[in-house]
This record gives sequence, structure tokens and C-alpha cells, in this order.
Amino acid sequence: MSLKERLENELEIQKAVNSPRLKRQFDPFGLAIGIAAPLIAILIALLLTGLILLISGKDIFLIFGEMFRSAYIDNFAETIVKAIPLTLTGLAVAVAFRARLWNIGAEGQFYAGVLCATGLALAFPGWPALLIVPAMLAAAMLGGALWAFVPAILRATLEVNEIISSLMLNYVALLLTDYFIFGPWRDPKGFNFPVTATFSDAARLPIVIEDTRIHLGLIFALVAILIIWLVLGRTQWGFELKVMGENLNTARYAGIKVTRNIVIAFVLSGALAGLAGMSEVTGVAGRLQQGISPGYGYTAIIIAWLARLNPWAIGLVAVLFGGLVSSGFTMQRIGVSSGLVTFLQGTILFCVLAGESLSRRLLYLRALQRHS
Amino acid sequence: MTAQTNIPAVKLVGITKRFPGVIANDHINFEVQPGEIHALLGENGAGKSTLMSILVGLYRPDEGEIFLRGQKTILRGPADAIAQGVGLVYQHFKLVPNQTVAENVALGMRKPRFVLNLRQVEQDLKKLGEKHKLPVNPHAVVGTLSVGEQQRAEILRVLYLGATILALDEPTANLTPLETAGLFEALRRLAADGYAIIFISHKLEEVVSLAQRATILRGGKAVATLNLKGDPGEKEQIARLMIGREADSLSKIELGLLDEAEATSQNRQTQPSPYPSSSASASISGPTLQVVNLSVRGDKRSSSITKVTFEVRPGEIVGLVGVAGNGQRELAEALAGLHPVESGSIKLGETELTGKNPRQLNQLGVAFVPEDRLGLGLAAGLNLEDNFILRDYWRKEQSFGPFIRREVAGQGLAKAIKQYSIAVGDPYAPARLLSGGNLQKLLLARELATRPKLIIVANPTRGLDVGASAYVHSKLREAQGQGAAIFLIVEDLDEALLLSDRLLVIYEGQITGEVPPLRNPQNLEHIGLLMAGAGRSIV
Repeated sequence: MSLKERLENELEIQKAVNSPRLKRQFDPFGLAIGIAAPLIAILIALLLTGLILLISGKDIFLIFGEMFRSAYIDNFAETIVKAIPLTLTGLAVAVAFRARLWNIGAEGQFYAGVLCATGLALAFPGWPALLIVPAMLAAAMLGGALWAFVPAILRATLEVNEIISSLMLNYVALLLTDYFIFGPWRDPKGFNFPVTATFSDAARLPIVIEDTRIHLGLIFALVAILIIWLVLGRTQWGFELKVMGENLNTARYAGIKVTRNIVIAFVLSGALAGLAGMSEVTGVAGRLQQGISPGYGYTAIIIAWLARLNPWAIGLVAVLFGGLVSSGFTMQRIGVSSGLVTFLQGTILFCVLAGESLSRRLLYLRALQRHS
Repeated sequence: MTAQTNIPAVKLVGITKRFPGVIANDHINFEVQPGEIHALLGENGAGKSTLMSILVGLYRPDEGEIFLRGQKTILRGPADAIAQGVGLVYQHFKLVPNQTVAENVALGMRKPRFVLNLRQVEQDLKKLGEKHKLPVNPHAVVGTLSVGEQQRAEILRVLYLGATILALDEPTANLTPLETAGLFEALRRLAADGYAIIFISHKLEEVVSLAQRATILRGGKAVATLNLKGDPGEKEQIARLMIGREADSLSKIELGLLDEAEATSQNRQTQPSPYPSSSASASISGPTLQVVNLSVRGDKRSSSITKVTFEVRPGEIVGLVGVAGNGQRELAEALAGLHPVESGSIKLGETELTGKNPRQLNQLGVAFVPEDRLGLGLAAGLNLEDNFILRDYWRKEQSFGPFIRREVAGQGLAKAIKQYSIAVGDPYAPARLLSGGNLQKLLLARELATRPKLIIVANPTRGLDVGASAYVHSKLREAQGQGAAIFLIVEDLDEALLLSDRLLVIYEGQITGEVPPLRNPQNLEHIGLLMAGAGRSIV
């Protein structure tokens, strides 16, 4: 090869290496559908719910108006309080869903976290906040992780369907909670109500916004959003989960340790749900009572799905759903069953799922057109 | 027009079927006479499958009319089509593997509705098989049958259900040469009995030897219908019609036109090849891949490999042929670290490979281009960049701490797209939108980027058109020229003969023989026997 040829060759290589980065094609249509589909789904769900209300002879404008005012204007702080556990559980299921692991057990993992935090709070009423809060945090995350470890290891090694096993463990956690509050942890001064004694002030999360019930859990949720966003979207491990979610065989082919990652993803998911439980019991109630979760772990599934597993969107959607939860009480005040809220949630999930597959189909067809 | 009767068994007029962005069938006219074997030819994507799907009622045409035996009909579904006597034998059979032949046939029966007289079905099938010389045991469980037997069962099934118009989609793709000959005989007999037969293929040799007429599709249009008289030059004419231009030497090889010349000279080495010759330096150094007494246990759905021994030297392409499902996939996956090894050894140079995971193997220089592109080598839902970095997203050069450096990944992909001229609209759209040829290019770009020592390739051109096939072959040749050892696992014997320096034959998880890649009749017969499990004494 002559010198000139070599130089030209070298130049060619340099050009190839320095070639501009491939451009992501901006697709306004895709973006519009991505935003519009869940909004339309929510609208349809509202219409359907409205229809039911109309049939039962209620004034839907009054009800929806009250609902909106209560959720997002009058009691917005309460909505944020509800959004905290919803964000954390939403992130929890999103981590697992990313690898297409169906963690339906966030509710149980939430209760596992609640139990661990409560146990510590009751056992060490004398500890200062700087000691007891981190201890409860660690214990709750560990508890949630352990609760998730059971379906995880069964799935990873024996291919036991994680939907069933994680769901079943929810009942175990719930009944275990009942056992403790009806049994050993029942407050002796509680007039026989199934509640534990009130935690020491040190074991209660501080309020971060005055004159509201918004507590330190808000910071937990925001930090968790940031971390999960980085982990899922930017790291090698997040990439591995994504590949696993697309195709387990391809993941194995790429040398990804699939079994190990299933367990880690599930355990991380459980830890987040456990954290949600700890923040709820120590931040809001200050004692363990029955029904401490109105089904956060289940609503989380809807939230994660609606947000398409995007951590920031999970935070937003959690606020939206927080409003639904917090307005439930207002509903009762104006004579509507609080079951309405659950009904609305369920309808939203249905519509979102339908909208999801519809819009995916639409995008696919369009992409086909653009490519050929 | 052949003059048997005036009423064609099938007549399609102006059939048009559009899919988003494509016109799969563009005003196609097509007819088959009773007693005729009519070949339907075309490259992948030319519209053959769509046309057949319309004929069996899977798709409704957007425009056009279907006449069966002179009657205009609208087919509302496959059951409707079979009721009107149209049967399709798929390339990948649609039989339930854990049921018997008779049970499978009974599955397709619409009458009687509630009563099932299986014994009657069995007797009828036996008689029907004897009549058409398509012997199949009706009591046999389908999963235990050979591919050829399954195909006979499938043909019998549609005949039993009353088909007089029979379409076969690439029926010889998985058959041994002997089984192919048997199938052709049966088809000729069926035609003589007045059945109308549509034979879909892209193998010109088979078409001219079997069919009376051929309709050639290109880009969704029927470009010609030819009467086949066996003239010399007929195949070249068809080839030209199929690819729409004069076939260059590479395309000719892909279409099996050039190999004939080689076969007559009986000596592959002296024939000038359009590819750079390379295997000269191969034999000096030791083997790249050395497999000794390798056994792999299959699970319920896969076959086992028993005591397989072979080697591949640097710069050598060793082909492995056999009927599908004889352990090829398990062997490939064991070599790539995806399937556990029961016993024996796999050596790359001096390094023992057994027990290593796919990533370690890849690092040592083993590339794997699996047959299942979107299900194993790539992930359909991931974009091109994600797919491109699958093998080395974890490397130091690609990352910053635990974070992936996307700009490096994007540069690598841009280079690969340019180098392999991958036709891509949006590299950040999911891979499933890419054509088979472009997917294979992407896969090759990734697997060959690191200059691997050993390349395991399985059916690399399945589903690709002639141009893409030629490209894939040239890339493999290029890697061979750079000293890579290539282990090529193929079901298409023609492809194996074309590429390989040596051929191994696999049957039921054992290598039954090693043969030279020659196209002469004795050798082909020998290969056929080895593929069918006879003549194991050679090794």
C-alpha cells in the first residue's frame, strides 16, 4: 500500500468514526398518540362512570365537580400525601415490569414493610429519631425485599408463575398484619380496638410542609424517582432488564445472567414497596391499624402502566390517582359510595389497557407505512 | 394454454391485496387447470404467500374475483376453502404433534358434528394412502414421524377433507433428496388423476422438472406465465423474470444456475469462482474448533446430540446438513454456550469451551448467527442501537462506571449501517420493522465486528431474497478469507454445497458421514442416504 493510499484509508476510517450520531427521528404523531391515548382513556372512563351515576339518578356535574375541587384544589396537600405511597409502589412494580416480571405483590410487600417498621417502633420507643428512622427504613426495605424474594426465587429457579405466587403472598401479609394488631401488638389502652400503640415522636417521620400532613416520605419518593430513572434508563443493569423484558432468549444469548437479574429486580421491587409501607405507617398514621393501605399496591399497577414505566410520569400519575383516593371521603360526604372511586380506577385501567394496545397497533401500522 | 378442459380449476382475476405501505398482490391473474401442476415462483416478498393465503381464505382480497371450477366464490375462511375443495400444505406443517394422524385429520372435519368415528377415519385414511401411494400409518403419533411422513400425512389430510385443488408451499424445503423424489412421483400421480396442483417454490431445477406451467411473481405482480417445455435456457429466463434483471454471477449461484457447470466438471477446485479463494492456507495450522465426543441432552422438545466429533480449521467453511430437527439447533446452541453440555469437549484452539457462558465464549472469539434472528440473535422490540450493543454494552470502552455511553453505541451503529449498507428509516424504531435481509445484515455487522475466530451460522439466508442472500454469502466468504473458521448449519442442501469446503451429515443427533461438497448424482444420493440415517458405517 502506498503512503497516499494508507492516508486515504486512514481518513476514511476517521470519517466513519467521526460520522455524526444517528438522529432520532422526531415523530409528532407518535408523541401525540403517546400523550393522547391515556388522556382519552381517562376521559372514556369518566364517561362510563358518569353513565352509571346518571342511571342511579345523581347529578354528575356536581359529583365530578366536587371530586375535582376536593382532590386538586381544596385538599391538594392530602392528595400529595396519598401520592407518596402510590409513587413508591408504582416505581416498585415498574422495576419488575421492565423485565416483564409481573409483581402483583406490591400490596403484600407494602405490608411487610409496615410490619417491620412497626415492630421496630414498638420495640424501641426510646431511640432517637436519627437512629430509629434509618433503622425502620432499612428494616422495611429488607422486609419488602424478603417478601418479594419468595416469588422471585420460585420464578427464577422453578419457573413458578410469579403472578400467582406474589398475589397469594398479599393475603398472607394482610392476615399476618391482622394477627399482630389483634394479638401481640394490640394497644392495651386502645379499648380493645385492633390498633397498636402510638409510635414515639422520634419514630414518626417529620412533616416537611407546615400545616399539612406532607411528610418526609415526599423526599423518599422524589429521590426514588431520580434513582430508578437513572438505573432503568441509563445503566447497564437497566439495559439488561429491558432486554429481558423484550426477550429472555435474546437476553441469555447476550450473556445476561437472567436468573440472577430476575431475583434482583424482584427484590428491588419489593424493597421499594416496603419503603412505601414504612413511610405510610410512620409518616401518616403513627400507629398500625387495619386497612392502612386502601390497595396502594394494586393501584400501583394501574399507575405504572398508565405512566408506561417512566419514573417521572409515575410521579405525575400518582398525584392524579392520589386525588382519586383522597376525594373518596368527600364523595361520602355528598352521599356517593366511596366504592365509586374504586369503580373509576378499575374502569380507567380497562380503558388504558385497551388504549395501550390500540395505540401500539396504530403506531406499528404507521411505522410500517413509513418504512416501506 | 394447455388444453385439458376449458374450465380452469382455479381462476384468480385481478386479485389485489394491500397492506399498510405495500401492495402485496397487484392485480394478479392466475389460473390452474385440473390435472396440471402449476408452479408459482418468486423471490421472498414477491407476493406468493399472500396469494396463497387469499386462495385458502385466510385473507380477503381488496379487489378481484376468485373462480373455483368456473364458479365465482367468496372464501370466508380456511374452513370455507376446504369445503370448496381447496387445500394448502404449509411449509411448516400445521399438525398437532401429540395426536395421531387420524386424530389430526378428524380435527379438520366439519361433519358429522358431534360423533367421531375414529376407526372409520383410520380405515379411510389407509385406503386413501394406498390409492395415492402416500403411505402413512394413521395410528402413528405425528410427533414421532419423519418430516417426509408428516408431509404425506398433511397431504392426505387435505385430500381426505375433499380437496381437489392442492397448493404446496415450498414442500421440498425440509426433505431429503430421496423424499423429494417420492413426493414428486405422488404429485405427478395426483395430477394424472385430475387434481389441480399449485407448487410454490424458488428452486428452479425442481420447477422445470415437475411443473407444466409456471407463473412468476415479482414485486406483487404476475410478470409472466410460461409453458415449460424443458428447453435449455428456460431456467435463465425464469431467473431473469424473478429478479427483474439479468442474473449476475452471484445471483446465478444463489439460484443454483452456476452450480450445474461445476457439477459437470466434477471438480470444484478448478472452477473459477467469483469469490476470492482463501482456503489454501487453511490446513497448515491446527484446527480452530475441535469437538470431541460431544453429547448434549435434549429436553422434551428438543433432540439429543450423541458423541459428535469434528473439527473446523481456520479459513474453512464446514457445512452441517440434515433434515430439520435432528439436533442441529441443540448442537449450535451448545457450541454457543446456550445449551448445557452433557459430556465431551469443545476446544477453541487450546481453550476448553464447555461450561463457559455465552459472554465468555463471545469474548474468546466465538460468534453466533442463529437462525431465529428476532427470537434469539436480536430482540424484536428493541431499537437498532440496543440490538447493536447487546454483545458489548458491558465493556469498559462502552461505559462510564455503571452507565452506558450511548454516544459510543450510536457511533458504532452509524458505522455498521454505513459499512453493511443497512436500509433503515429510523434507527431508533423497533427492529421488528426491518426486513429479513436488513436484520441479518445488522446481526452480521454485530457478530463480525470483533473479527471472531469461529463463526457459527445457522440457515443464514432463510427468508432472504436473492440479493440479500448473495450479500450474506459474500460476507461469510470475506470472514473466511480473513481466517475465520465457519461452522455452517443449513437445511438447504444447495446452500451447503455452494458454500462448504467439507460437508457433515447429521441424523438423530449423530454425524453419519463426511462428504465432499460435490453436486454429482452419486454424491447427492449418498448424502440423501446419510440424511435418512442409512449408511452410518462411513465414519
